[in-house]
Amino acid sequence: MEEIKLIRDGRRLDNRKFDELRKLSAELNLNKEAAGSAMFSMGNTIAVSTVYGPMEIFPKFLEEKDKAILEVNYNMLPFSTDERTRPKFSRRSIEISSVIKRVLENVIFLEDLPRTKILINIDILSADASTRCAAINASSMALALAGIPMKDLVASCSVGKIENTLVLDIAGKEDTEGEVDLPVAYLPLTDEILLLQMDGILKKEEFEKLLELAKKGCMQIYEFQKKTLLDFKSNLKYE
Amino acid sequence: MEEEKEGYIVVTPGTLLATSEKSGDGTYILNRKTYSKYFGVLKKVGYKISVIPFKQSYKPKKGEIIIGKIVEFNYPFFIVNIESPYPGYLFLGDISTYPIKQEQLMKIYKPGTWIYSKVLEITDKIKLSMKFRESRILRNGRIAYITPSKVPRVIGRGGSMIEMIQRKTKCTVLIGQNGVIWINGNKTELVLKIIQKIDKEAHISGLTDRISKLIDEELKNGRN
Repeated sequence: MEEIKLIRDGRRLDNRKFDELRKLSAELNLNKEAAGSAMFSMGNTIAVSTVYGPMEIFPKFLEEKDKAILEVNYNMLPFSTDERTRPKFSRRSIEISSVIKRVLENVIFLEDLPRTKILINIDILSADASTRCAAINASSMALALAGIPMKDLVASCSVGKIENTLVLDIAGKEDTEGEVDLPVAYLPLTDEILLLQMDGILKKEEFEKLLELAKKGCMQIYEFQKKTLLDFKSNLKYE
Repeated sequence: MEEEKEGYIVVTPGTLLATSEKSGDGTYILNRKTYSKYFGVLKKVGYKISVIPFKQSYKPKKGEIIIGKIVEFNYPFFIVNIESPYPGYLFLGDISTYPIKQEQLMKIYKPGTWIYSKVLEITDKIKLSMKFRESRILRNGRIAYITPSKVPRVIGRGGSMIEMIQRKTKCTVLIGQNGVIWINGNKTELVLKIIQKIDKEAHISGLTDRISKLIDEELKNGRN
């Protein structure tokens, strides 16, 4: 089998620079029935997040007296990948749900809404690497729209290493053929890292460089999220 | 980052509002600085800074007047849906000062009945009362919903907005603090349209004038 070259003349497969994000776009309030919903896409990766609640908890023994509980369901739709995925919850989707839940628990003021539940459903419409990052970005915008008290918007993006080069925003072939994939979720206000997963092997200096690169990418996404939210209300014209 | 337009400022969660500790609703303090908690509109009154969210679930407070819907009877109380994460409880003893039999009450307070009542107290349950003077059972008419944070805009300063709507459309309009509105009269559709407009444009100044204009136009056209 012929080996695929991921880097040609200082450019990547999709003609991006090493520290360049894919094209970002977002749509807000898709679902009128939900408290808040948002679609976030990075290139060919599209995630839709819908937030319901805060609402009563059933069964009652799950509720906590002093804080709200979060329920996150991450699922990839059957048509999201090249080959059909089974629509039921897999081992992978359960893991990613719990990872996203742990990220969002750090951002929401859960103690403001005691004895309630916040339900977040995330659907991946199209998967092209770093789906969990798109899911976190979509969820943080949907939570803001739903009027849930939050510390800040979370931004997330992935960094990695392909052919001994450190790159921002892994996409497509780079995910499967590359050496390292490292998704990061970042809270700009307190300079905290809320998500850090890695597969592959890295040197210490490379890791530190990658983290800096990830923070830079997250800040770009954070500014984009803010701009989208502000435009959504400011462009409102009255007849 | 914040954006200023025609006198209102839209803020997102995590926006820096002040470099000192300030009190107010919808804000929080971290490292001696004040930040926004919600996606909403900034409001400054004196030394207070508060953020009014565009959307919010209702949090009951003692003494507030609300509109709710009876869900079921479960001795010794009725469970009431008050459009909040928590249900309301209307105890049999809080319904009337006169002794009424339970069977009779069950006939009046059927599931699906809308009531105009008051939050009596909040313990582990939210207790409602029907003993105050204005409380009543809402028959006929129709129901509209609005975000609870926008209820003050529907009422207007000193009740100016609601008074104007009632006078011009000749409808009876009752507003619950939980964002449920009961409308009765011949022009319910028009009032519904007005409420939807307020829900959409509550944060833009000069609301009362625009609403007044809308009603005049609609009445002149005679569509409603």
